[in-house]
Amino acid sequence: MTESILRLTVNGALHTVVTSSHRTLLEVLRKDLDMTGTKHGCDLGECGACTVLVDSKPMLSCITLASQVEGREITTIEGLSDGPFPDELQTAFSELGAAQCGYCTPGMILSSRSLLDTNPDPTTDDINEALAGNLCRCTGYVAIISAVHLAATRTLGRAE
Amino acid sequence: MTSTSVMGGIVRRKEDPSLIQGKGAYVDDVKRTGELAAVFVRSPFAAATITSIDIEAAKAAPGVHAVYTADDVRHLGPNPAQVAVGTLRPLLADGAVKHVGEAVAMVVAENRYLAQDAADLVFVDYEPGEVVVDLKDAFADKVKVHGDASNILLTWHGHGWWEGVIDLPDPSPGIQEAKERDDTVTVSLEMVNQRLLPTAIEPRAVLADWNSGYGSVELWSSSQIPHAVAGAVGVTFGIPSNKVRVVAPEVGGGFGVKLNVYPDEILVCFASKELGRPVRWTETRREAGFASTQGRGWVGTATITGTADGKILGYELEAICDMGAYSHNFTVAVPLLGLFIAGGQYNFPTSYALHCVVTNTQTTDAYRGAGRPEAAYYLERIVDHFAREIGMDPADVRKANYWKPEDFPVQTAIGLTMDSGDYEKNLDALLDRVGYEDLKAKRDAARAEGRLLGLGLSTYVEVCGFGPSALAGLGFSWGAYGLPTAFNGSGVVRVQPDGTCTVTIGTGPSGQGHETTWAQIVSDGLGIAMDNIEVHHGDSVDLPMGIGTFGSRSIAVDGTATFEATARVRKKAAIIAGHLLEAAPEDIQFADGRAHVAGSPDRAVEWGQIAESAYQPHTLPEGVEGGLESSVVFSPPNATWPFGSHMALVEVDPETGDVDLLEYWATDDCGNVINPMIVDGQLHGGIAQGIAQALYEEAIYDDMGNLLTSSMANYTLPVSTSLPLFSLDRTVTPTDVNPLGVKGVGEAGTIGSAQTIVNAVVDAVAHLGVRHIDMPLRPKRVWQAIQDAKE
Amino acid sequence: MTIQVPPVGFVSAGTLEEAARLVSDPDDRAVLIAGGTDLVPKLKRHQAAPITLVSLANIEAMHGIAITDDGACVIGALTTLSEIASSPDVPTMLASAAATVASPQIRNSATIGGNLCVDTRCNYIDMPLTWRQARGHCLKDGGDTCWVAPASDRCWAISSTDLAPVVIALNASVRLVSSRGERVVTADSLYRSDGINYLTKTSDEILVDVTIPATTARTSFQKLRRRGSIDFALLSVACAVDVDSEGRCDTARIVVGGIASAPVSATDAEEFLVGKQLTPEVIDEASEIASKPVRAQDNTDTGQRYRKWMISVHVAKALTEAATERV
Repeated sequence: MTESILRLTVNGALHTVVTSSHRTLLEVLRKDLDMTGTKHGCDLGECGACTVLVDSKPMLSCITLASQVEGREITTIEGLSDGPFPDELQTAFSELGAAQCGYCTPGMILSSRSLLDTNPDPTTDDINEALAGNLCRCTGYVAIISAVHLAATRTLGRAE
Repeated sequence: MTSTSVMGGIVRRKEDPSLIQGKGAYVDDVKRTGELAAVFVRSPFAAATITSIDIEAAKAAPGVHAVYTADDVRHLGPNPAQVAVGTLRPLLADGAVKHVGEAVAMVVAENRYLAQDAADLVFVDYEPGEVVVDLKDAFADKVKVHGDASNILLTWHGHGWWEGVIDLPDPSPGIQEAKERDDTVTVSLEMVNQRLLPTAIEPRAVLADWNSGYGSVELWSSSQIPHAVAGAVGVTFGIPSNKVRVVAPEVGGGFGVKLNVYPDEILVCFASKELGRPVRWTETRREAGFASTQGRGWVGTATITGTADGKILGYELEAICDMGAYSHNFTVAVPLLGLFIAGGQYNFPTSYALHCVVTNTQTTDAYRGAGRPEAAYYLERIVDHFAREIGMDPADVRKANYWKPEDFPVQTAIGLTMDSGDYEKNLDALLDRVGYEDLKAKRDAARAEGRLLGLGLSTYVEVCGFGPSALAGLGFSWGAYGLPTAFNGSGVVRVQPDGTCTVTIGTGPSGQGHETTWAQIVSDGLGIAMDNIEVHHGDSVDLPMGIGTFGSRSIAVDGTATFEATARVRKKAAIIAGHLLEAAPEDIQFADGRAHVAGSPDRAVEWGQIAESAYQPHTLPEGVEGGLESSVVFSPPNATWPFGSHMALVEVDPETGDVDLLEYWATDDCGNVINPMIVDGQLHGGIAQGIAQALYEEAIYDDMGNLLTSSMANYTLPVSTSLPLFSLDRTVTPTDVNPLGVKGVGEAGTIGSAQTIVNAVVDAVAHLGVRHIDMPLRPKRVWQAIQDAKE
Repeated sequence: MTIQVPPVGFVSAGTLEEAARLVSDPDDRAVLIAGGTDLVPKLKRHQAAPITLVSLANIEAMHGIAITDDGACVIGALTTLSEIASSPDVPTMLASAAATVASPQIRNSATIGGNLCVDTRCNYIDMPLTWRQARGHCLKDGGDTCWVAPASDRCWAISSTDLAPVVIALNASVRLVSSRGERVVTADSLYRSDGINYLTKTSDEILVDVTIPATTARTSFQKLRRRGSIDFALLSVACAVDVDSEGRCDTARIVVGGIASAPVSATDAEEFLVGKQLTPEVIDEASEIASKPVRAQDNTDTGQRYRKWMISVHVAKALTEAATERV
């Protein structure tokens, strides 16, 4: 097993990791960097639980080799809040019961975050399309869609 | 009780601040120094004799600490948490394998990579044998799964299941008579309720740490039943319960798949004990198809006999139910649970025979609803079919046969007592809300234009809140776990010296928001703010016993235990507060974090002061002991019986057979509602899983016993674009089985929904001659049904 | 992370020449990786065992979308599917098709080059290793038999690229570069009707860009799959028709994907349409003709009869939509 030095920028901080060159980003995050907020659900890119943002775009860390994302900006769920303060989207999730078991939640929030950053006033169809790569078994997606709408409404300063 | 606003109010979940920031710790997030990794070698054959296992190369592989086979673990005996029906599953395959994926060896190494490499070096010699997978073939009993034993483990009969306890007449003769009358119509449908994979998004994971110094073991497991696991571990290793700690931390979805004591939970404890290091095993998604239980799997015929005015005179259900190769915890009980509500909300004679058969496949066990979705499916499909045959509105046929409110409590055909129900009111509430007549007109108008719109209705009653304890002895063998055989609930309410509150409960949640709902109960009872109440669950040392979470029981049973414990703490606190305020305890009220004298809000004392006194016994009145906590174990006198009505509007594309689910409405009744947001969330998720069964999911086995749908690419869960936003409403018919008046709601959505979709799709194409289509309603199936009806 | 990628080296090529050199010798067992969204799962499933992955991600020459003077659209092979889906410069049909592939996350990594070269799929190979071992390895998996058609001596795995039917229907060409030189081939000729050797591109050639000539054709892309996301297509149809000033069809291209080992041009239907108005009756007959020669294999989710029927349904949908497209 060849070991390499990987330089990864995660949540704004540069990490130097000595690991094997074929490690997935998910493994490096969870094992080498002890950041366990990103989850594994299927390991083959079929469920979205491992979603992280790379240069603000959602990607599946379980099928992305860490070597592929050197030099790019990686954002995990741990990087969304401002210290202990959740962002608008996280707050909306919590107010509307959009998290039940919480396992799909990190990936779901990151995909939603990316949507709102590029489309601040999405329709329900837009939200459904943006989240179509994140599986949830608990909520039937209903409260999640509502939470994204609520976060959008608040960010735009509209009446709720 | 002073009422604060928390009961019945939408209260944000206490679980969320952690979960939304990715700080929730699931088993795989928990680390132990010096961990080793375990990997299983699994059988590629569905039926084979093992003639030899060569582990030498594996043992010599880099980083390997041990390779275990049946020889190493036989002395532990089989997993005690198996109901003793049929052949018990050995911890590791012992001379034979009975399903693809059965664990044959366990490799433990420094890390998972090395363990997997070594596992590839375990050479097993198999002599494949004959395989039986098809349910009807299994029932025919020619190819047998286990030696010479019949594949038919047992048959549950409706009237005979509780022989000797309740004597009920066999309804069959009466039903037969009804069939022979001139004025009756008999209709029958053979239907499949297909096998499913529960597919919690978090795969199962276990981590064991045996401390030989203490002679104790700590096991982290993604489990719905940590106490049961602790009991089974204790019994297996012959160590007392106070030496076993099982922790279920955050659990990423359960749905019944984490409602078992699995061999891997015991085996990692064994490996840790032998090797003196923590040992971890995490399921891969593909492995879930062999290492974790599956759901449903019935093939059956439902028959109704009735008159043209809609009165049903008899219902018969005969089904073959797939147990898989080995029974686990609830495997054979699942059909029995279905039997409990097989007659549904209806007052007509019912006769059932549910044959539990083994096949060369992975075990089935409870999956959201556990027998009740299956039972509701057969019943509500055939009632709908009967309505269509006699040309009567499906809602009217149902109403013509419902139990009436004044009939309650109702003794069902199989001898259980239904607590409360107002079925017609609930159905009318749904029909009014959806504008039933207008919807039908809309559907008919579309049909006239050639569009295939369909309206589907299902109503249901379900049984949950298990309890009563007497049931527990009848096939749910918790006694084997070293636990009392009972279906009780536990709650400990403790006020800390600073006036904050700690609650410990015997549940095993996986997203149901127990920390929130229970805090609401206690906050309401004690007037302590939600933020000052912490609810603990999932750690077997915190509580003498807990039965865990399944069967939609937690609120009804552990909730009641906590309610009672709260009342006792309140009572004692009132005495202490009365002493401090020089008032009678009866005059003390609690609100806003303090106790005050009724009518004189200024005469008050903080909870902190009450607690301070409680923990300084010399300050207490004569005869009052120190401390301020209560521990209650509650045994419910009965199960509870939620009910509801669901409706779906679908459009079928005649060219492709694709089903577009346009709208879905549900009006459910789970008794009193403590947190509407959490209750709605359970209904959303439950309905989504029922719709998923109707349209998307199927665990498909080939004739060699291979599971063809073992990845999330080919086992297709609905995605966000698959489902509409459900429209929920409720009626509230409290139960008198517990003082909270709550019935439970975790599975209700699933029980009401699959047949609602099928009824809707059949409605859309019935005028083309289609009478039934089996789930899942893939476009090709629907299209084929339309073609077949044309021919 | 319970399924690991087996040990494999990773090299990021800085230039096209470097990449070409690294994959020039088959004995080196070096394979190209772009987004890796198909390759990495394959590695995890032990469906491929290279020694080195050669990443193309940093090669500037392979990025970007440009319009040439004659209106052709040149798309670098490393352009991601989401970039294509949101680009105003690419043909509408290509953007529409790219937007339907897999899931949003995969589209952010997956590239057009990767999609055009994506491996063929089959129920019998996209299974865990133990299953394949127990069943007996199929032809594509290094064994002796094609389980879809046991009497056949070729592999029947199915072409799974959505973008190939589109670029073929748009008469695109692709540029292939290797250490031996460079060549340009039509997109059509890139594919071979064989489940194993499904590309005429050799393993040492790198697909560098796709050139789509300017077109006035009315287009439509239709896709059939179980869910609205994630799943591969059971069937896709890319349709491009040129009509004259009287609304009669000048040329028609109808390319069907997901039903055979290579995209299939429905040439009989294309010829039938020439000179005709695109009326519902003509469209019906054309779609019927399109499904005739296709022998839909039964190695994914649906049966043969339904599959053939779906071909005609989707060709009809594509033609109907194309006929009404405002160009």
